[in-house]
Amino acid sequence: MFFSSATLIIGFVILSVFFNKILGDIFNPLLNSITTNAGWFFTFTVNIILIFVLYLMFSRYGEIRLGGDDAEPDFSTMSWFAMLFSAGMGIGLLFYGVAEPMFHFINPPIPVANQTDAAHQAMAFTFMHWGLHSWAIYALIGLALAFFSFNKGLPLSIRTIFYPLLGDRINGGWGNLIDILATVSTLFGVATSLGFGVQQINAGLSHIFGLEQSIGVQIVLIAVITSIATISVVKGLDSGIRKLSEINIRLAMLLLAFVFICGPTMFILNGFAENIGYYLQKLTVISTWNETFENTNWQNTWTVFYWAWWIAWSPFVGMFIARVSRGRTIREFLIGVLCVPTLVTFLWMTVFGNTALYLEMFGGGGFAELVTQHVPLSLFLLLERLPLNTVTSILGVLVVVSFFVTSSDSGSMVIDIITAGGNPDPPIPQRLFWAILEGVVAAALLVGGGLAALQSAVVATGLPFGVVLLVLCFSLKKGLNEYLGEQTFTVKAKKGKPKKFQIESADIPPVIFKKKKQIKDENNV
Amino acid sequence: MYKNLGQKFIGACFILLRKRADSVVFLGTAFLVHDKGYLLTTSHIIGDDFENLMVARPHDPEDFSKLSLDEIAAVSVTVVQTDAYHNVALLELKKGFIIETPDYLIGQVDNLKLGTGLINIGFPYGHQDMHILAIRSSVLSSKVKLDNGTKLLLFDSMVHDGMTGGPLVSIEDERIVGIVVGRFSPLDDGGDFSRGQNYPLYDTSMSYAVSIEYGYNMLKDIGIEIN
Repeated sequence: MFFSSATLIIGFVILSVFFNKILGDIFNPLLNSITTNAGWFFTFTVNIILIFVLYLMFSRYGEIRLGGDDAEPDFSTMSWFAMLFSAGMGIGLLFYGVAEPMFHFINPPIPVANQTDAAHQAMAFTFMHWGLHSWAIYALIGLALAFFSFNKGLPLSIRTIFYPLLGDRINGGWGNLIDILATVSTLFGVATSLGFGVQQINAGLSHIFGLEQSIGVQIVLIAVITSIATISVVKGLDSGIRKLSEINIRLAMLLLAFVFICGPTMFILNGFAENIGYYLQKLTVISTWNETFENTNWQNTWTVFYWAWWIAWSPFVGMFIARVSRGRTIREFLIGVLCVPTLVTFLWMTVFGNTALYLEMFGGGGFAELVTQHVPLSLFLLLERLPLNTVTSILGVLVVVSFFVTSSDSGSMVIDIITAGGNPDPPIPQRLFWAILEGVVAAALLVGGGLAALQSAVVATGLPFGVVLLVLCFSLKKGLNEYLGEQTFTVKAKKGKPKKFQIESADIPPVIFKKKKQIKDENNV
Repeated sequence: MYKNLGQKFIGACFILLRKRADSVVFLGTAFLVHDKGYLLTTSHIIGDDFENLMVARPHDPEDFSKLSLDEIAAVSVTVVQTDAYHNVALLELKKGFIIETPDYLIGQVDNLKLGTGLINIGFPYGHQDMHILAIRSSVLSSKVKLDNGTKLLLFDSMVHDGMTGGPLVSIEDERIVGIVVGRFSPLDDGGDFSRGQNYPLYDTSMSYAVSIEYGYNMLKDIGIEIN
């Protein structure tokens, strides 16, 4: 599987570099077609998943401990949260925390009467795109992987979630194919994000320090990020990835605290409760809204794209979440994966989004237009309007880089585990190979072109995988039922009946525990 | 009292037989531990002859049934490994069966406390041509080690010869902790507890089992991880 995945990835990169126009002509229209025609399906799917996950949280299944009754958590609760958040959300939060409310504020998806309603709606849609629904997707696949792997003894690999569908066939060609596709998809997902991400970092550095925007600078940035991620992956989950995730969260919290204190503090404090309240009130409306009567296509580029994006990323994030969640009960797991990151995301979005809204609504205007035209700079444009902007911009760059590194190292770790046949502690040479390949692929795509086409291809996998997630709801429920129910041994003949024999009497053999010498002598004879 | 536990494990137990021309002879009990068809038993009931081994289940144990059977439907098993040092054998059911086993079968003997409730299951009177399955309850009386280091669990129950090779299950966590060997005799002649064959005074009301860890290790040796 290691060689098949590596060959396929290198082949795809060569194709993307030399035929990126053709690939773009295939995958970009495919993605457009999916977001245009399958919006209703994504709306349906993500809501079913959220309801199902909430049901599991409050049901009797919540008592089940991942890894069995005797299992103990591998990581402290704070380290666990840090890793969940760093792998799950990453870089998008930094740019869209500022930019997304601005987009929805100046272009409200559902017509509104005034600015206040527009602001409410902007924050509610932003919360929805980054909130309960997205984390429910991660929670579902993470829980399924953790349960089937730690409680049912299946390998920690994407093939495992197909066990209820394919049975033992997951151990054969089908299973290999699934894992190879998951490896390829995860690597391209992380590599394309890295490719686009360094362009954004370069834009930020250019804006702050006047650094030139060039492929050369971006290659250096990829090399730096890949080097740190490689060290982190080689050091392992506890010494590398956990520590970096904690540093990442501390840096992010520092930035958050700065904006909170130096920004419109009262506006943020008032807005936090109000944003959550408005989101919860309108959740059923906005999460089931399909633009049916408006006959517009706003959702295609926003909500539907987000759903496809989260679903396409869910195998990678879900597997990482599963890997770090052994020893938690299902209730702890779901509270940890669904509620806590959602609340932290809401806090982040409120601090950055409300500050941006304040600048637009009460700071003389023009900020929304500026941000929507320069999304990669949105964070830095906001920091410019606060004190100490040189220092905070450097901090901003550090946070951007650390979010990239933590996404990159967790992505590499997931690929390592899959290609090591589900081994949660893969060999070091393999870790090195995948972490470096990730950077090389990002650099090759950046130089040769093909980033956009490959990213479209990755996001397009959200549609078929959405179907898999729906089936997974049923199969996970079935697995949990069997697990909690009265378990017995059953043996059924596949075909035919055993032959019958007469029974004769026999002597009782003497009990013997042989000595080592006796066994050795017999073997020599 | 132990109804659920009994229901859980009776399906695991098989009569272990050796095939002769057109008939079979009773050897003892064997029990399933893995859905790939692996069974454990004691090695001394197989001896050095690994050929022509079969397993059978005579009837639905929940139904009233005849004490003795004239005929029995049996299927072949092969010997995967034996460990005569610890008196354990690993068998494998031939292919062609769909098998399901409960989660978490194997227990920990090191943490097992004296007085822990236990059950053992098997076919006590197989050597007397009676092929009925029986469950017995007891408590863990002692934990002892043979000179060769083999860990034994002593329990206060008089098992009969046909129970040999059956599972010893902890009532507390419903996991298998041992493989039943037979009646305990306070004789240690270098590892041969012969249950008072020559010393009637040494026949006791206690029985013993070898630790399940030896069976677990055999499965691990062939790459089977079991929880």
